[in-house]
Amino acid sequence: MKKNRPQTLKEKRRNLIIKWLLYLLVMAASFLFMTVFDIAVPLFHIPIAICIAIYEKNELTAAFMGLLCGLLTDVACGKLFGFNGFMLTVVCMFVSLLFLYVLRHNTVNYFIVNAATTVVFGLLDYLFFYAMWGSDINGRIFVFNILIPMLLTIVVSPLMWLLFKAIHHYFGIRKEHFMAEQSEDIVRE
Amino acid sequence: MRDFFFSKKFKIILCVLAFLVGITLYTVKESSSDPANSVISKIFAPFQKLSTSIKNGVENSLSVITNSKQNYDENIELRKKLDELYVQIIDYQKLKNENDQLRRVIGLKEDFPDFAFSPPCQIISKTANDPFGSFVIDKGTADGISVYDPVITDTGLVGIVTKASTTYSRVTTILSPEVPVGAYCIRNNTTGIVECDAELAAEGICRMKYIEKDSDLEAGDIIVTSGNSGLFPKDRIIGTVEEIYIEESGLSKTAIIKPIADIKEIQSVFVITSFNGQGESYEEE
Repeated sequence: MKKNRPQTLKEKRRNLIIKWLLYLLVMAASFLFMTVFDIAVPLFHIPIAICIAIYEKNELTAAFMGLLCGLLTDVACGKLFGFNGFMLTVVCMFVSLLFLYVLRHNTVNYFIVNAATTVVFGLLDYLFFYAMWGSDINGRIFVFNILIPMLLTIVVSPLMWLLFKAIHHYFGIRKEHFMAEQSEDIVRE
Repeated sequence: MRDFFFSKKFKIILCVLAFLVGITLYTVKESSSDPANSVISKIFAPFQKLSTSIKNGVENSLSVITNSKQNYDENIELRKKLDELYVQIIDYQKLKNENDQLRRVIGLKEDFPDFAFSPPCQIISKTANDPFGSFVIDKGTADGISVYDPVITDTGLVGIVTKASTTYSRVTTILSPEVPVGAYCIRNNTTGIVECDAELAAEGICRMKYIEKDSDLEAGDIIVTSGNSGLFPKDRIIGTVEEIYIEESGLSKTAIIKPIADIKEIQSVFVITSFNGQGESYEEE
């Protein structure tokens, strides 16, 4: 019963704050995880940015969160500041547009988009930071520092999806009144 | 969807991207300092310190359990070595006394009086997925550290500061191909260049190249910095020779060097903020 009750303005505001705090907490925790361990780690911020882009349904929000996630990746991975930031901003903007107008909002689509983004990011990282400078002769860097983090990112992406689904489920803004308005419009028509 | 590309939102995103490109280009130009990067580092540094110490604590506690057999074997082996070392210490003490006397006689200064050190630096974060083990320390320009300052432990050379912000610095280790070090063997003055690649870095070792074919370098020889580049002070220990082989060209030898400092395991370092000959390369002379 309580679940179907329309949210009050106060509840909406509280949920909005909690939701964004949780987003930031997940981003910060991922950043810490990436910088503490001396092993191959997933690039957590790619699935995080894509999840936010999909769930927030707003191109501008998606782009800004992509920017933030990209910059965090740059700092964590010691890459040129802005390299991942630029790419993730553009990617998140397009992901948001794709899920608003073209693709259906489901796990499979998210997984495919995330995997494709991760692979492109990994290959560009390898191209610009290693292959171009000839620092990799036998492919060791590609396997241990590009391919494994890439695979780990793809593996953890469903967990991120579930996490953001839960956040959105518990702290998202329900659209009951919009539904009611829409049904009224239909009746009028 | 087409409307979006003519909307205000899209223009805002384009402005942000242009701004970001500007920052990136600035970062490329001013590669030594990176203000935007340091802001993020500053925000996260206390949390990184905390999480690193938690991780180290957990790792240490777990290693007692998981490595008990290995520790036991190591313990026995170390006891044997300790017995040998007691004998060596007696010889060492004799030599040290003799050395001290000689120093007094010829009026040599104490070792490296020209060095200025930073306060001890804690490693607050490792660079994610970096094959060459670079890391971030909790001291920066406010502590007198600047770019290209050498980084050492109490045992030996670790690397060089490649980025310095006010309170944090990024260190590139000698396991990176970006940090070649002029070196020589302390026993027979054989010279060479210590450098590394991804394959060796994964094993935590590096190689000394361009060694004269006729040199009598042996396994166990100690390799120290030559100080010719002006980047590193002279006579800091880099590591010991593990293996020597002749290059495919047959013109020179290459030695595999085991760094004296366990670069992937260190938790604190020192930065030498100034030393005699800093910035004066041999070539310039």
